[in-house]
Amino acid sequence: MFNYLVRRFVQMVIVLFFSAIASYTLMSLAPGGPLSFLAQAQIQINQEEIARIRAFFELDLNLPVRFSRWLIGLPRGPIEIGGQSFFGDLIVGCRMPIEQTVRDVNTGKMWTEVIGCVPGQDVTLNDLKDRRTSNGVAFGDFGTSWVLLRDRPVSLLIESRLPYTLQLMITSLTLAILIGVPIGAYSAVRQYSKFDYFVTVLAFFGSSMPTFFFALLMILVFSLIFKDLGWFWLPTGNAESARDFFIPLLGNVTAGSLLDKVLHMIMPMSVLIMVNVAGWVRFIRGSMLEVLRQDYVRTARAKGLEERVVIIKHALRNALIPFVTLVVFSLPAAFGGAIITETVFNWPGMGRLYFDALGRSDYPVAMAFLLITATLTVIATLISDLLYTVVDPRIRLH
Amino acid sequence: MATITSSNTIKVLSAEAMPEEVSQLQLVTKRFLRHRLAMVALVALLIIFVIAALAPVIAPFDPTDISVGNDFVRPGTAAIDGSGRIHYFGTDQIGRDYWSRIIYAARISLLVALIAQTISTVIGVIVGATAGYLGGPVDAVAMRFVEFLLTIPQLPLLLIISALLIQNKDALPIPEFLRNFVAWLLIIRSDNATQVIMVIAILSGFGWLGSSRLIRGVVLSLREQTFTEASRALGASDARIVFTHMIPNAMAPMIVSATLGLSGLIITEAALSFLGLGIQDPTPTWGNMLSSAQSYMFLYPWLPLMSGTPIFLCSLAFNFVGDGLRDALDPRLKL
Repeated sequence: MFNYLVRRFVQMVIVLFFSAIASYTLMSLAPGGPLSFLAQAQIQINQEEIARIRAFFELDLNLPVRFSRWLIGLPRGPIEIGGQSFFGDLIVGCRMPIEQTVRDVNTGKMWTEVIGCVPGQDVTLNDLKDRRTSNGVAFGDFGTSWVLLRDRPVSLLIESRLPYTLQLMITSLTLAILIGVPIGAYSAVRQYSKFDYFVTVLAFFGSSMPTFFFALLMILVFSLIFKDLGWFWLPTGNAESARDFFIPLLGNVTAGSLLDKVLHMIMPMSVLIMVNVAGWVRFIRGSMLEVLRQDYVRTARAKGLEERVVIIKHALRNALIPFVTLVVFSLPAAFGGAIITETVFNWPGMGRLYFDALGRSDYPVAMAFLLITATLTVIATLISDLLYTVVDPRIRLH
Repeated sequence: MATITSSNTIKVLSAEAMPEEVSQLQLVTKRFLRHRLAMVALVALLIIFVIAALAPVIAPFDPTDISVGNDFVRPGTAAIDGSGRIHYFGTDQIGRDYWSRIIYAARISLLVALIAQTISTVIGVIVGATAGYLGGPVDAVAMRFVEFLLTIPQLPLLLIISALLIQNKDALPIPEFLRNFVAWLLIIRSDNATQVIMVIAILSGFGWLGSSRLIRGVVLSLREQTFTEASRALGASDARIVFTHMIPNAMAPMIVSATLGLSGLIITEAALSFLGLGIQDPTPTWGNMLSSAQSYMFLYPWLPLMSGTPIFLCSLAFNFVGDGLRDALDPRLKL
């Protein structure tokens, strides 16, 4: 067991290291970025200022150095051993690159290429000493946001959005389990009944329904049509409203009150419940059907146990074993939120944050999101493998 | 000699057991025809395909024709040019005929899904079959790579890659003839075809991961079967065993997963376009039409209904057909 855990841990670190490289490479290939905003704004600035901005975003450093500073916060300066510093003059970047416009004779395409460095403008390890350095992503420092919350730490943004996502995801996952498990189990017990048929078709509809379309349909029905008819209607976006509003049956709703928050959560929550229940019901039904065919269920019946006890204690508990691992995989989703649902309902959570960060080229935020979700997914995989042995002692891990 | 005798006995036996000779294909067809929902779905899909294929003939208007002052016309209104044509679904925010856009979008959305699924199935089969059959270091490297890509959550990754590609038109070197071919196929302008090709590339770039694992699993179990051993004993080459024994036997689960995959691809493409990170206006797709309909839905609530319903219907139909195929091809099959 111990060996297994150690091996898995090493594997996890390797996977995460590769995904860090992958996402960093993706981001550094990205167009946009801080300098292109300056270009778009047509601001006339001199070489010195460009160099200053490049230094601020660390664009003047070579890619491997930049990556290592981003990942583990090193190098911070020359290597110092016993008061002596080494490699202080090692060149790690260039303040003012010499750019040349190249033109392909055949296709006529033009692009700029860096062909060298202005003499005397190299960045050495000594220059890194005075710079603001992050502690490194590996140690939880995601640096500063570029656009969404300019020059403030990314962690601040995440802290402000995470509660909304957790609130939405935890309630909807819990409700989805409470709704999905009984429905799936019952439809397996009554296989080929009208109920079973109905549930199966409904699950098909649910899993074929795009979340964004379902979300828009809900807004159409519960916000537009119900409001027009003078019925009980639901607010369409955000987590709470800015002003008090009136809803028939409920009366005046104070902005920011608990009722206000609950009303705002109903629709995004329902969409997420629908998606999860539709996916899970068929899974639970299948796993329940398999268990019901087992000998120990027949034995339980033969012992003369009540059918209710047979179904719940003997069959359902075993049928839920594979389901447990499925639910564990919702852990990253609970952090990452539902990008599409949060975007449609303008819910101020993590998913929406990621979408905004992509749209506005705020790469540190997007990278933080990607890495945290990747980490959580890897952890969830490990937990689900371990849980397998806990809920089913027949399985041994090697 | 022994083989001839035994095959004769089998023939005699089977002739007694089965009064009529029924081929595998007939059996499968018969089982599929019995699946009512799958049949209905198949017919619906055929109708949608015919409409999409005949888009230029059926569409009453040019899908990109803007008509000023003719925006948000209600469904069923006659055209203002007096030609007697009718805007069956009304018009959008810049006066383009909605019905014509819907059927041109059907062509684009369906073809994108079909092409992406074909590419990812082919790559998946090649990688999966090779890895599964050869085993050893090839298998280990290929599968670790696939597992690594599957570790990272798919939707965020898809979104970021399409955000990067869509913002940077020259990121993928797309040959001129390919762009022109896609533009001709989808009846769009050649410079707009770049986006479509990028979306296809992104979708198939992730799509093959799942199918390669599926095929590898099937091949791994087939490799231990006696008929594989027999053909190896007869001196068949690796390539021959893979192509004549492995891949045909892996066909059933592959067809089923490809059909079910189409449902997912249609939704994913629509989601990308809906979020503005896929195929963009003026090229019509159901996703980007729904996205712009969202902005006006409180005044013109029929618009999101008309562009969203086809996404749902197609995805549902592919799901039903896939389910029917699974039952027909192999009732024991589990996917």
